[in-house]
Amino acid sequence: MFQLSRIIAALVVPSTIPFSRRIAPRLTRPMMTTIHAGHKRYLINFAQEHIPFRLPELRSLCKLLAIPLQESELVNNEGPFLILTLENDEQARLLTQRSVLIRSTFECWIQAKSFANLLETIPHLPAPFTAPYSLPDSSFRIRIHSYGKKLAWAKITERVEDLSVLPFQGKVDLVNPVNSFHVLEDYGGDNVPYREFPEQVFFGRWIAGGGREAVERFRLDKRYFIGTTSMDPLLAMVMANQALVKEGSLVYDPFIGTGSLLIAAAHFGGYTMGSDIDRTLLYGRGKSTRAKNTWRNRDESVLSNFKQYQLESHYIDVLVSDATKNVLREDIKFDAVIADPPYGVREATTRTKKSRGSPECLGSNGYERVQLGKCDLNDLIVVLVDFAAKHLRIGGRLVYWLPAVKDEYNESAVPRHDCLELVSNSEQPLAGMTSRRLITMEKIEAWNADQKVTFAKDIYTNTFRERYFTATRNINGRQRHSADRDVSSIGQPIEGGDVSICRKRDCLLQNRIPLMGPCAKHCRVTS
Amino acid sequence: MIAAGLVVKNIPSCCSVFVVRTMKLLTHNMLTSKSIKGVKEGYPLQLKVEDMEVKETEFNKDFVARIIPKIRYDALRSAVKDVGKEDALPAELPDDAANSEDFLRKFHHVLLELEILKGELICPETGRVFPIQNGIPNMLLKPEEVS
Repeated sequence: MFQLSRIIAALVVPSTIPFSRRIAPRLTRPMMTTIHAGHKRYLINFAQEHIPFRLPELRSLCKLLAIPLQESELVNNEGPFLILTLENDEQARLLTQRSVLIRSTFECWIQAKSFANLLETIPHLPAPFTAPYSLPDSSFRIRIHSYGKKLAWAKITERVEDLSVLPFQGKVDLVNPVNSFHVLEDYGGDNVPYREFPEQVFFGRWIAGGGREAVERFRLDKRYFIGTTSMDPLLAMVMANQALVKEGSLVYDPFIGTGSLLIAAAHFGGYTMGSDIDRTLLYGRGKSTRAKNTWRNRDESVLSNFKQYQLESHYIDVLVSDATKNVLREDIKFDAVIADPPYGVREATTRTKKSRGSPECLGSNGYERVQLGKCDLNDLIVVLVDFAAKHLRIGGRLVYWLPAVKDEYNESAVPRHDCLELVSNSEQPLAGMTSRRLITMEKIEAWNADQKVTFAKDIYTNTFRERYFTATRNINGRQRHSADRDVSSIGQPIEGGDVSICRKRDCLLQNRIPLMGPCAKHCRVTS
Repeated sequence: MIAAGLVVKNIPSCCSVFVVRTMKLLTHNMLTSKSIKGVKEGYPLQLKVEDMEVKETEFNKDFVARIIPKIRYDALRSAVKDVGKEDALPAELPDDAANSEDFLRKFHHVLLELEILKGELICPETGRVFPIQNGIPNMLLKPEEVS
């Protein structure tokens, strides 16, 4: 018996999920009360974001860590909970700590219809199972979480008192207990009416927290060298997970930019290299994309970012080169190719080519950088897929973003290659009817020069860039102010104010907004 | 704004700041000038060094052992000669290279610790020069050079 009066802190984690993040309402399923204790069932508590990316990340990590999964358990939930059968705590811990989309994992003891039901079930827990936790020197604490509803303090303390039916003999230790037990009440999502009672209630023992702390460490607003298209660190780490990067992997990015994808790969132990056509960017010259500075500092570079995070040992090199031209030996094989090719929105899609009379822009080497017309986006994606097909080892992975226009997209827009197998395709909405899809492909057989990339070439009637900007004009049928339509101002530093990050997680303009505001003008996400 | 000990100021472009960006011999071993019109192999590229430094970096035995099959040893040997460090590497790849700690350490030193700050990569067939500036090789070709 524990002394109820000494229990003070039981944490409530209310989950206020913005409406825009919900893709579809959850169905209420009639439920049986289940005792999971003793069956090695683990409750995964996902972060409530990037929902389509969850299961692909889970599958990739289980492949990487050689953890067997039962496919039938991988249900697409809109809510944050999933129950998995694993072999032991160690597997659950390894999986969780590497993931950035999992918040925490618990050994699931009971899945009940309500809290009252949970209390009734506790006495039925098998005694041999609870015995190790009932020892006098096994200190513990209880925490109460609710999702989709904020529980009143009185209710929380009531719950904790009710849980005295647990057969625990040890002392209560709120700071550093041997075991931490949690009640998780699931009240459903935002777009269901207020629920008096939860959909389901879980009880379990905490195993591990997800690898999300690293995301905070790699924040773009604190990074030394950023650009207009630096990838948000969370998604960069999802990509590194999809690419099965581990200690000793050799990773290449043919559109390296500021190296934001490779930082994530290096964090997981990859040895990284890349190339970019933009000489001024790689040499740290030109205009800064931060609000305060006008010019970049001369020591800004991809390497300086690696140094900032003490990842220097995992930086091999960067090259200035055109991704459409071969500069690498054909027999060089990488473990992973990770890329975010230019969409033509914030960075032009360029390649070196012959002048047709009026050069758009003369580079300092005398070559001309010409922005191509309708098909340039597809050209670069084809080049990327071809590069990966050639330069990946068997079992290696290509992970990249494919921009898509929702009302015109279908499966045939995803490029295919005989020696690459499509592993996953997860969508992230952007502005208006545009989105981008994280494509993961795995090399399954050896490359030969006769194989070509195939895809539906003319699937989009306008360029991605045109759809991206016209979409933001016509929201709710009203014309936006002409200042908003000045597309040349997008990507430029804002006068005054400090560097700050837009509160929307998917925001592509993370490094360029006034201190106190969300960048509402640029960041409308409509369903 | 300070980041990780690097002082951030708007430095006029006339001042040269101590920048440590470098090209490693591992990278050199992968590069080819084959996309130049008329070039058959374009490998290995000759190396001319103006500024080089030796920078110690963490030795990862497994990684270095895995790299062995990716390296063309004769090209590495000629690169090592070009930078004037011929003694740093044995003339031939030893039979049990992947298990010889002594060899792996030398291999690691040559591939990852010899850093070229300024220099040139030269196509062996056409003599075309690719400059290395601030440790970053510029492999861009003019439109008329490309096949």
